Amino acid sequence: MAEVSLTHIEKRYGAHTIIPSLDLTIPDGEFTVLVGPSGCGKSTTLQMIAGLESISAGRLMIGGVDVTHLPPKDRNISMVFQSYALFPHMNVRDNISFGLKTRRVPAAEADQLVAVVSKRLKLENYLDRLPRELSGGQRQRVALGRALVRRPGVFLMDEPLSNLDAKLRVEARSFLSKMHQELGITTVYVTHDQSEAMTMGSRIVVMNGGTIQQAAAPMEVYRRPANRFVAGFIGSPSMNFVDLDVASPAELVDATNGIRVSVPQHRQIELAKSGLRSVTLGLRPEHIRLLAAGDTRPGATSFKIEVCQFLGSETLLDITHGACRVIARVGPEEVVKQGEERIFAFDMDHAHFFDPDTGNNVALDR
Amino acid sequence: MKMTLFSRRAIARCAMAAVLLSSVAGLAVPAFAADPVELRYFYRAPWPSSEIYANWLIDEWNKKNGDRIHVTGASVDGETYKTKQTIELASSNPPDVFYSWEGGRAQEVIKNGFAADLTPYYAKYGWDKFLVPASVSLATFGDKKYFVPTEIGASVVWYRKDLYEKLGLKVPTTWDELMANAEAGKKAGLWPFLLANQKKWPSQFMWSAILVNKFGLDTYQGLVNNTIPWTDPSAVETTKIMADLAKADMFEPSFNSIDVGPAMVPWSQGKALHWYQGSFNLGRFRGDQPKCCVVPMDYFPMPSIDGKKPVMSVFAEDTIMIHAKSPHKDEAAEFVDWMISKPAMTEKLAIDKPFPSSTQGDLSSLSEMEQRLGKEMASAGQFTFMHVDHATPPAISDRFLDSLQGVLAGAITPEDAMQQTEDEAVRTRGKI
Amino acid sequence: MTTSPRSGESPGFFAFAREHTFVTIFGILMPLAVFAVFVGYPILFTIYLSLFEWNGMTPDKTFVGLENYRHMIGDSHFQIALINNFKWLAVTLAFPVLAGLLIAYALRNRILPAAALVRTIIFFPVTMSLISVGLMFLLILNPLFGAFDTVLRSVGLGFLVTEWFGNYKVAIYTLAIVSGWAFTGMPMIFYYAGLGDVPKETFDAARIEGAGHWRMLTKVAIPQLRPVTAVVVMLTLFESLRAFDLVAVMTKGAPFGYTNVLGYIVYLESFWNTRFGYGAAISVAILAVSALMALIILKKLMKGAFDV
Repeated sequence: MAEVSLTHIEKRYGAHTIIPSLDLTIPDGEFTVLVGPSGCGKSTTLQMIAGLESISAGRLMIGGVDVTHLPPKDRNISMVFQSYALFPHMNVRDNISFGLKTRRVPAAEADQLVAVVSKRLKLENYLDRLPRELSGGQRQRVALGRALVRRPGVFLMDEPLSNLDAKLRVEARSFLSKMHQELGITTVYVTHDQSEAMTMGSRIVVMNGGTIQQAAAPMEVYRRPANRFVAGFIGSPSMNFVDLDVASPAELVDATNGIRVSVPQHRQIELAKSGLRSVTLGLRPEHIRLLAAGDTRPGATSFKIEVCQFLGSETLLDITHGACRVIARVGPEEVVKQGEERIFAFDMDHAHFFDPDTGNNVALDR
Repeated sequence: MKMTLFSRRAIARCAMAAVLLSSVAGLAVPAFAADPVELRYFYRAPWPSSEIYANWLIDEWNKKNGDRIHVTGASVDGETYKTKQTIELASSNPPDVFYSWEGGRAQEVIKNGFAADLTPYYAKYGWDKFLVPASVSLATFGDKKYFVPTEIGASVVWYRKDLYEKLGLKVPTTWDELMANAEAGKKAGLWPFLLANQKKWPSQFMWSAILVNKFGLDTYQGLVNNTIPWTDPSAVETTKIMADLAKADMFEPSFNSIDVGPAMVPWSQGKALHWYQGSFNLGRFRGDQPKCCVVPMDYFPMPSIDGKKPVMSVFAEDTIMIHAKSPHKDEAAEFVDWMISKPAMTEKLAIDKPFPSSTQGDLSSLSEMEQRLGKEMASAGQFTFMHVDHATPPAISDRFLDSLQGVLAGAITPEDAMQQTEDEAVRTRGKI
Repeated sequence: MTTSPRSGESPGFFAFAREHTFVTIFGILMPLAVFAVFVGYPILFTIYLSLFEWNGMTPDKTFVGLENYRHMIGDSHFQIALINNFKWLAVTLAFPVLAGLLIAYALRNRILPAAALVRTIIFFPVTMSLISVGLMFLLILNPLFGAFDTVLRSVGLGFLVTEWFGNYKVAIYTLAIVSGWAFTGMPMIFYYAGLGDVPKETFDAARIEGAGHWRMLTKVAIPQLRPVTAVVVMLTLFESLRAFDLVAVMTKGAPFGYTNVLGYIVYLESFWNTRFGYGAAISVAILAVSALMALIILKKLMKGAFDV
């Protein structure tokens, strides 16, 4: 059990800086997910925590010990790799007990530990098999077993589920979550899949370009994205963005496409405070409402339905008004047809305002 | 090997054709259109100087006689000549003129019918009138002569004159005196004798000299001519003497790891007092000096042992044969005659190394010591003895050299060494 | 003439040949012919020759049956040469293969700096002719002015100095180590490439699990490099059985035959001692030893090495 804290961590390759300066503290026992598009620095960060990549500058503490320059084996960590990285020539038992042997755990004790872990992972019947004789899910569990058996202070996972098929992945997600609840081991989990991040993390850290964009609980990140990048990255389908001019704090206008949006009273103060002349309006698909024909309430606008995606539990609509194109999510009960014109309205209570220049969320900007 | 011969020949043909064409075009000598006789000369070139000399020999000949008899040369280095010669001689297109060793090797070549009888050419050109008699006696097998010697050599004890003077030593006339001098050298911190036996042939020189001088020439001839077995007490005793010399530190340390070439370094540095070796090393002793030698040195023959009259080893270093299957034996003999002519022999001394087989050779370009040795060899009425690897077939001599080296290293006894040599000899020539 | 395909009968070679003329000619017949002319015929002729006594000069050979083989069994020089070949093999398996593996591992794990330079330097001797390697080491190991003895003495290891070629107990090892020096680049390149194919994550996982370099090498790298090792061992085997050049240029079998190897005595007996039949019999022995060793390697080492 250990807290992980990164202070001004930097990573450079020659003159090329991958991570300029990173500060992050992961409290003991927390399940933290590093998420971001590929190349955002999340894997590098994990590798630095693991000790597989050197740290160019800054300080890394694990469990109160400065491990910045310690080799991986002295960091009290274990790791699960995307490829599982099982030793192909060793059977399951030897794979799981590899770390115990290197640490000279007595054989009897090691057998005991392997037995416990393999039972938990339902591998007890496969201990004598080679990795190539196992299914993908079983291999993944062996990798997990190898990392678990030592009861490390910190558990590092590098996209551990991305080699599994969709069905197994969902199962594995809940299995990992359950395991974390039971064991309470500090976990740093890297993924590029935002839905995995949302479902598994007690906290998610959204990264881009080597910097942390936002670090908060999943619903917090979803509801109050710190900036346009986070807003767009978290949530599926992505948040819609519409650039509008601020006619007055009460009204936003897109003159060319003939869109007018009125801002509710309690949101006007944010806009007024920011003093922006134009703003990027962010709206999740579920916050674009389909209205009944003939509804003429303020803000109601006619959109053309370009594409319908019927997903069963919901329907996604690509809708356009002039050059303005957004995606709306409507209930399965709505009857819609491709090509027809319908009336939609933006639910401005849930709208986000972003500074078009900095991308920051106006509401959170101080 | 063969390819280059063919291509060289092809180039020569093309050149010839070009010359002919141009002469025809010029209508200078329209009637003369016959091809010259093509001779192939296969020679051994153990030293860089041998190659230079052979090229000179061929070029000079072709300049004068190329329109009539054209010679093309092909060389082989000193160490692998035997292996390549076998293939060359047995081929369907053998060389007309070729190098052969004397002794056992020559016998093998003659026995297999490769060597033409040169007795008529000896008579025609009068070669035996000016060749060193010792060397002619080597060429005689039964009543026929099969080769023409072009270079002869002798083995003697080379000694450092300056060190002798420093230590106040006199040139020895008996084995005991030689040993006393060696002891004196050893006391003065010198190596009494250089052996440089890494390639295993050098030690046989001293071995055969001791055997001949102690047990007589007949005993030695009996050994190498298959009438006395190698297990004979004379051979064992001689081997023992060599072993005792080694045990008594009479040779340089690590003598089995040092080759003759590198041994020239301690010799020049004055670390060794004597060196029993062949005169073919004079090229090395001369170094880059115009005259021999780099360091003050002289020679004396292996001295008398047990009061017997000493015999100096004189042998033919280079000998030339004409192939029995050559269609141009007369032309080949003409070329051979050029090889031992006075100008050719004089040039050999200038480019290559001593000693010419012809008494007509002009020795005046040599140092006083070399001239003295040359005259001594020329006056040797007949050949004395050649060392084991010349005298016996290679299979026997190779085993003999292996065994002798083993004895010197203390790995086997002299008895075992001679037994092994005899075993190999039995396989080659049968029991005596 | 045409034949109608009969049902229930597998098409024979001629049917196949008619259908795939190009493949038959260029894929089967030509390679077979090339093999027969350049590999098959020489082997058969060597075996044939080994039943004769022939000096290579006379047109006719004397049939002696198995006499050459009978003699070979009692020939102490043949025995020494055979044992020397195995000593040579042991040295080349231990030294260049191990050194190549260690260097490749060190380069891959960035333990050694300037990987490209080191790789080039180590591989360079492989491109040198063994003749020049031999001549070079004759100078380096020369007891009179050789650099090696001087270096040993200057670092206080003078007691190790021996007659590298003159001492019959060490001479064959000297040669084998020189050959190993020239050969190290070969296993190194193979292992370097092989290590590139070993998933990097398995090394990372081992490091995290507390493995040091020794354990990573022995427990992670070497087991996964088994296919490479199989190829390298095979190459080393043939290389050591073919050993000839170094002996020819450095010792010629001296001292007293203790550095003879089979390849060299074939040459010695055939061309020097003009016993072509006996030389051929020894060649056949080399072939038999090679085939036997290759069989053992295939059975033991290669078994399963290429399973994924």
